[in-house]
Amino acid sequence: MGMFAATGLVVKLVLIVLLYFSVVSWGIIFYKLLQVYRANGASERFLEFFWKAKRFDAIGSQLDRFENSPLTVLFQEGYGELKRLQEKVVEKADPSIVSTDLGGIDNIARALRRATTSEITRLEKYLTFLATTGATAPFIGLFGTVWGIMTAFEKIGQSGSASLAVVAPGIAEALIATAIGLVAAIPAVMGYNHFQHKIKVLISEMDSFSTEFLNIVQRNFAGR
Amino acid sequence: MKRGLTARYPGPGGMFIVSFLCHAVALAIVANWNLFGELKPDETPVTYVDMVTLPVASPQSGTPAPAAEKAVEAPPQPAAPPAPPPVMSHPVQPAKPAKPAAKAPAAATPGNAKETPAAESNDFTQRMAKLEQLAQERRQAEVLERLKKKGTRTGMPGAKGAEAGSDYPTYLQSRLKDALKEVMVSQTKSPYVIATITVSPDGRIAQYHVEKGSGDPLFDDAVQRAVTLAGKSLVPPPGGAKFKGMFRFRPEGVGINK
Repeated sequence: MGMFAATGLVVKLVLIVLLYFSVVSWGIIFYKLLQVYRANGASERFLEFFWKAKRFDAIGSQLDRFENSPLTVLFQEGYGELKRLQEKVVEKADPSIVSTDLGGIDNIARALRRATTSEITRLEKYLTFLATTGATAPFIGLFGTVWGIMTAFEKIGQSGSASLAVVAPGIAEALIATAIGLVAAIPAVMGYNHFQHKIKVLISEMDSFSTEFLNIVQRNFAGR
Repeated sequence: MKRGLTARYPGPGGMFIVSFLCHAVALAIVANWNLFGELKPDETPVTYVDMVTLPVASPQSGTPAPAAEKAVEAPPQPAAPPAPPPVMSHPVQPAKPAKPAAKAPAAATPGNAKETPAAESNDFTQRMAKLEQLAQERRQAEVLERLKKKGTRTGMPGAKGAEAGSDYPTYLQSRLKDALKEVMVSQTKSPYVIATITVSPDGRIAQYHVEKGSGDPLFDDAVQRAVTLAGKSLVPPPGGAKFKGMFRFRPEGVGINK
């Protein structure tokens, strides 16, 4: 604390910016940990439930149990689109429409793709801040250090003494900026890489689920 | 339907608060446990030694050097008792060396007499003794002359040599200057502090009062540390009295404020 108080204005500003980066990064890391791990757990439970269920409407009524899973959003979108197509068939009283019009399946595929994209966007939200922190915090810290050392040398020149007692405190104060920059950047980079990996796994799960969902729809509804 | 589900995901706001609290705790730990350490100057006691060139009799003059050393070393013993180390003013010595100088040849003579064979005449012995005495006296005169020439420059600057420790302010100024050099830190361009320092009869800093601060907290602190540091190795003021003086501290050095 004493060292912080002894630093110059520019180094203080740098330290405050780095502290802000660190606080926000850790907030994002905590948030993403909760989000990604809940999404993984809920997705596993949802897939288990999905393959055991016999009817889509039974699944649709139980979605609240798996609210954190991105797969439930995909199912909602796909199932919603399917229901709208069925309603259209009932309105026109022509049961052959779904079976002959392949555009119905395409509609469902598009709905699933849109839902996947929206879920990926939601999962990757705030990760760019982690990447920015990891890339820039060390440089911001380095800037603070360079500035601090410049000021320290200026003071040495003014005092006219080159003793260690005069030189060391200024340089030590300046180096704090680099240390805080690294403290902010290292967890951010580690968190970013970790969450990227987890999100990739979730994306591949969503792709698989979309394919399976379309297969089921085509198998059970298009051939009617 | 999708919006309803997505809205149930936890927001990052709460996590930012958690993160902020974690940082506050981490900073508190760092501050309280002093993990960075403090940049304290080395406060090991410093022993000051004044280098004085003592006049040594030339070996070519025929007299062994120890006799001359005795002549120079003997006088300080009866000098003023609590003389501070740097105030070892040699000009005090002038009156005294004459006695040992006179004794020296007397001490040397028996040795010479012992070495002289008994067969040699008394005349030769007396002549030798006279020559020895003459050489000794000349050497002593040279030594005294040299010491007189040095005058005020020995011991402390400006010392008159009339009494040991006669220039205590200059001595204290020198110690403060050395101490300030050790702990010097400043933020502003040319700060200065005027302070009154009282030294108790036992040589400790009894009072330190800042008459005018520099406005630079780092420099003010450095001055205070310098006074504390200097106070650890002070000799008592002369005459068993307390000393009070005003000093002006600058990054370049310390001056006596008259």
